[in-house]
Amino acid sequence: MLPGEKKYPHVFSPGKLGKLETKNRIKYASTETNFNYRDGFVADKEVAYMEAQARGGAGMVTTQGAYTDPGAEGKGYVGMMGIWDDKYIPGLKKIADVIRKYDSVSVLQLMHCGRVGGVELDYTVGPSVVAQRLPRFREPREMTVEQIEQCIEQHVLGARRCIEAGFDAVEISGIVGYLLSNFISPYTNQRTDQFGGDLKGRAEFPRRIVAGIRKEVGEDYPIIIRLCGDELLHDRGGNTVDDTLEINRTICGAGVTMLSVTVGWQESPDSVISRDIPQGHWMYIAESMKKNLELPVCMAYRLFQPEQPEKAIADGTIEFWESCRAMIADPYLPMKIAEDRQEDIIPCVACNLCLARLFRDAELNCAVRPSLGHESEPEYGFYGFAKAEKKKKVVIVGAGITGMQAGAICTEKGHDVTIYEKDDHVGGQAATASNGPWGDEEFMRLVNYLKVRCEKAGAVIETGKEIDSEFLESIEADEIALATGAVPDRDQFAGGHGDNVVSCLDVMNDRVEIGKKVCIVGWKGVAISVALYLIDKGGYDVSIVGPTKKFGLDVNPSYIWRYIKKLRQSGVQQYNLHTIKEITSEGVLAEDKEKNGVTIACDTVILANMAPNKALTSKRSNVAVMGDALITRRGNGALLDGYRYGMKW
Amino acid sequence: MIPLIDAFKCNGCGVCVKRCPPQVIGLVADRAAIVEMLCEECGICAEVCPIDAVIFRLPEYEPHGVHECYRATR
Repeated sequence: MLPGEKKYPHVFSPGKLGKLETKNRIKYASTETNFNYRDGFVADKEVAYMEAQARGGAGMVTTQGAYTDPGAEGKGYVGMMGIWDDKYIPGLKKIADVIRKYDSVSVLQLMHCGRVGGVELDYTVGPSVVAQRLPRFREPREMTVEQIEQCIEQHVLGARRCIEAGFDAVEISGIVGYLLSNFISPYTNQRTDQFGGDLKGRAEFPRRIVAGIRKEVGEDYPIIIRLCGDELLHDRGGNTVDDTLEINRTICGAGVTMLSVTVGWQESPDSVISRDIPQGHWMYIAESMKKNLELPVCMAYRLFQPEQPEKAIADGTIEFWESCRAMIADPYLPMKIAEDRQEDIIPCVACNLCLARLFRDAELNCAVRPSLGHESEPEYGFYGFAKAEKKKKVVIVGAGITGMQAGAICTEKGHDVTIYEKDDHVGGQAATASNGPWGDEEFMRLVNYLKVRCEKAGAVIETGKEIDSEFLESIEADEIALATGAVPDRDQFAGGHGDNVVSCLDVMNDRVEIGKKVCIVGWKGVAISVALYLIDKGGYDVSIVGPTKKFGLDVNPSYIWRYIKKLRQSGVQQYNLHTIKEITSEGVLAEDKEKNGVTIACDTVILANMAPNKALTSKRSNVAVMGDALITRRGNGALLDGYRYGMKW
Repeated sequence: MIPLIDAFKCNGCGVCVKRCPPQVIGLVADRAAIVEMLCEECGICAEVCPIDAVIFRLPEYEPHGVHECYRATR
């Protein structure tokens, strides 16, 4: 027995799905990737990704959703795989085979995206015409009864092809705004026929699908269904929690083997899966489902670490611990937990870059794991980097996330690496950002992971050592990389060097005294972070000033709206479209868009206009610049730079 | 997948230059050019291009197999 298996005996106990047995209780939950061909055929890239998930040790691996209709109305993502014709079976079979090869139970998901579908059409379909609130999606058309009957039949045929392709189980997706959930919710289902109306009517469409599939696949074949436990659409007439429960009872009664329960819609006005939701927050929903439906239940949603799932499985609340983002970030999560080396897990920081990419019709990306989608390419080192032919001496200045990422990879490739850091700790701006409120301390998981990775590989990190230009010129090294990060640019505005002007980094590290009335000069994510930090500390009168129409344009769309909401609720004065002219002892002098002068009086001006740190420059030919020291970006750019630098040598 | 700019089509309007989140698109010979090593593959340039001169589409499998845009990146 491995040490981690002793620590989490329930997570690593065999699980049951109908008559199937799984080696443990971890289920890789379904995630779209956009890796496949645009006409729905499975690409090798997707197979390699699924192989990584299976090799990582999960007991059950679910494929991404496959759309079931030839018209692609159910297709919500450009690279979504299809299952509406037998011609797709050979490709799907490759996935089933590769999952089975690593002793994992394979599950195929059928998904019709409903009102968020029709990605290549100019309309979507749904039970009723209810305007979409999110601008990205297209207007729905009402489905006729014939179309609904046809759709049910297509799901049944999809399940048949799933068996033909060799999968062990089938899953049906009915969450976050996809077609089944559209029928379930009174917000989107205003029909008066047999597929709408009361609870029974709204449950009819999913129930018929489950019943149809059950008839097709026989008694023993496992059927999993993903349904909402709480739609969080209370502001626009969604189901109450009790109604949802009743509907789920009806649907599951038609022959469901296991329920995967989720929370919220894409149109929900509340946070569901972002960092401000504590890990394990939604477990009470699973608990209620389990208690009332007496059916095996599994759940994903903000469960990144094994402690809470272990407890929930021990209590009998959930049968399987599902994981999406945590396993996108590290498919080897199950194995690393089993071997009790959780410090090696590449930690998901819930940045939702993956979601942002999918919604822009781009391939899935992961901020913390640049090897995503390149699992089959040895140079990306997903299964370990090959040793370099020639050993080099590499010096990296700055132990932020870029420097450590590059340092770890270079060391793993056999190079002799030294990282110099001027602070007494590693992590740079990521460590500073972790002082922020509402879950931002999770950034420290990333910093610690990179530090451990460097240490285990054997890179030398010298903290408290500031490098000057003279030293830089004299270092004996084959390659030198400057990853010195970004600092606020004091020269951008007149008066930037005044006594009342402080750096946002010093504020968030609690290194300076600031007055009660503060003005933040900056318009990007960093400025918002500082504002949120001060709001959380309390007692400050905060304003933000910047020339852009909106603040935080660089922040992920799934975060920015809640940040701006928090700023508004907390009474932060936002001076958008204000050009900053000068900083004086009074405060900030700016001009609004009509060129009227505005004085924002304050005790302290906090500069958050980040710019590359150019304190060090060199004419040596072997010096590279990377991370924020090159261009100030978000954390994903910093980590990508470090990774690409490491791959070079 | 790094976007491919169709230099014959690009009219150098510079919208992508302005909107690229990591700011790694510039104009060369009045045509947009991406610093590929720093590209984050987000596809915003393709989304904002008013004349569809940025190719950022997944390939189709049938009938030919591989699209020119679906080359190995980096």
